[in-house]
Amino acid sequence: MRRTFAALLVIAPLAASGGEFGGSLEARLATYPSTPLDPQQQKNAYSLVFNPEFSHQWETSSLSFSGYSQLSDDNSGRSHNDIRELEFITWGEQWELRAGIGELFWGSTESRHLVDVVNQRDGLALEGSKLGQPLVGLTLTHDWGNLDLLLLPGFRKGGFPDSGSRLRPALPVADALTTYEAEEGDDHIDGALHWSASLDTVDFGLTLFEGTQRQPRLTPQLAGGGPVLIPHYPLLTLYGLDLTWLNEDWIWKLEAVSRRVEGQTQRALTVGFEVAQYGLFDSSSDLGWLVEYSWDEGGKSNTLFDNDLMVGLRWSGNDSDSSEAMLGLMIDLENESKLLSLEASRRLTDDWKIGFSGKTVIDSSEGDPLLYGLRQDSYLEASLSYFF
Amino acid sequence: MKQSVIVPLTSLFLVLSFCAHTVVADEAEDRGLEIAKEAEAQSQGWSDMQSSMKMVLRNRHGQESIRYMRILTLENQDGGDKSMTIFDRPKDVKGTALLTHAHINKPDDQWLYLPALKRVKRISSRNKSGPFMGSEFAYEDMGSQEIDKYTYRYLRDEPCGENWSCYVSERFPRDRKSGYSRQVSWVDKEHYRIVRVDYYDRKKSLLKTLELGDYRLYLERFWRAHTLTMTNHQTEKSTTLEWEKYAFNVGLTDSDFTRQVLKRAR
Repeated sequence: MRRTFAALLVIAPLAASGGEFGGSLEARLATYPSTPLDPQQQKNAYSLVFNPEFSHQWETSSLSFSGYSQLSDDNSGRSHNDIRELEFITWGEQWELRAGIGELFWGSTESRHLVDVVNQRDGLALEGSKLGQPLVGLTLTHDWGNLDLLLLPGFRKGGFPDSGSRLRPALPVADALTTYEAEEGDDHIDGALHWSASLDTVDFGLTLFEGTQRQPRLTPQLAGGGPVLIPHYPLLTLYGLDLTWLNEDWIWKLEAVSRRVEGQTQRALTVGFEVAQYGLFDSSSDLGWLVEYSWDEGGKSNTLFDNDLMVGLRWSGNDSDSSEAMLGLMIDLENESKLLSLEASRRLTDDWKIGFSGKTVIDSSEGDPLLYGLRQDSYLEASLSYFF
Repeated sequence: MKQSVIVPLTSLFLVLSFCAHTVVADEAEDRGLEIAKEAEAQSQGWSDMQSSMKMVLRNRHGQESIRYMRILTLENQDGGDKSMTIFDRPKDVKGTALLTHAHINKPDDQWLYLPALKRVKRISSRNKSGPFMGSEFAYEDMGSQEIDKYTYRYLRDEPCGENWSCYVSERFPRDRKSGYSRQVSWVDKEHYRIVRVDYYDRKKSLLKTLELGDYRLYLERFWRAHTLTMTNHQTEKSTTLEWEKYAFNVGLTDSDFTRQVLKRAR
């Protein structure tokens, strides 16, 4: 909250001098039809999300701010505020320098983001959005591509919902007992590098990350009279490759990483394609297929994507309301577990938008512990957004 | 938002010309091609351009929805143009930006920036006949209009526009992915200003009519229409493009059309 206030102090005088305000306000209501595994878990959940944005641009520099404020049911522990972005950028013809709090995306695939390692995931927001990361960055743009060099001071913890919430680990997480491999704890300065280039119909990138891993290892322990999970953030060295190849109507995508954590090397891969059929049945709508295979040496206890296939079907109406729907099925290739998801949205007026989403676990197997823990957490959510 | 394509919109009304006669097929085709080439020659040499546009979508009941966008274009007379389109409205797509590196003999390269995800996505430019931003303009209507992409035939002379003397001619897309079987255009003889285009669908029925008006002269050489209305005869919907500002020779270079710049376009 104090950080948000500090941001307002910076933004307010600039706003007075001109610049652009905007943002959105969104209301969400979710219902969980199945009996929860833990009786204190909620049956319905609501959230209000406020996302104010401000930007000001000069000739060769800019300042931007993006805030995130979520208000949710008290017992879910999901209410929180964050500065997603408060960034000053200045640039020349072949370089760009940025400092502040920022968010960025690296990678090519849709179902899993292996090389997108800079920002911490926001564990309290449902949609899998990311926390703002303090950073100083230099980007060099030349014929040989783009080189991003980042220094990342200040580690952000992911955050875990309270025991009243759905879609949470089976045991409570003792966030206050968090440990780090780095001696400096969350003051450790991480570094990241990303080189990207285009060669005709191929876009590719190489990533190097050296610092505290964003995803914690959760270890069950007895503390404060009961079993809890204690997060531990180890140091990570990651090498990554991302690739997109356009071949006629087919878009091929690949992400591969090698992670060195606590003396062990783990590799992971996501590879697949997207292909669309335009002008379905003589209408203006499109139907796109998305197929991605994921493999991870980390195994089932660390990820849902150890040996899984994702098949998605995306429909775009291409109408003036931007109607869209996406149906996805994730299939574990070693047991029967499946996760079915649906998302749909359309504009109501120029300022209002409505959306629906849902997920359900099918044939959950105890051999897939992460998914098995969510077997009673199938949900359906409606959202209404106002843009200003 | 739909993965969309808006390449130099400029080219749309610059080089939509074509023509030919029916007296002798070859002669009509030659003349059609000649007129298209002349129109292209007249439209070249503007270097770079910055403009903004309002797009009004109307359904059959007259209900309107409005889009705003800004477009930067860099001319490249040897190869394809480069362009950047930044969307301002509707507000839920504000900040979305599209970078196009157009090519003559192969599909254009396109990248879309999605501000909510901070993500630059390589997209396919092969969806020619799909609607642009839910409007009555298809991607291929908005894209760069290279001469080699069509064959031509001159039809007749006819008065059109503001009492202008015009060539009426038709052109046939070579690309089988085009949504059209043919297009008939009315182009003024003096300055090659396009006044009207009729679009025929793959079943050869009249699909849409584009009417262009409010022509103004820039740099004492380049005529630009400021109002373009596309009417769909089959759905009774229409879309009007209103150009608000044109600025030529603003000093844009290749370095303004990179993926890095796409990310900070606002």
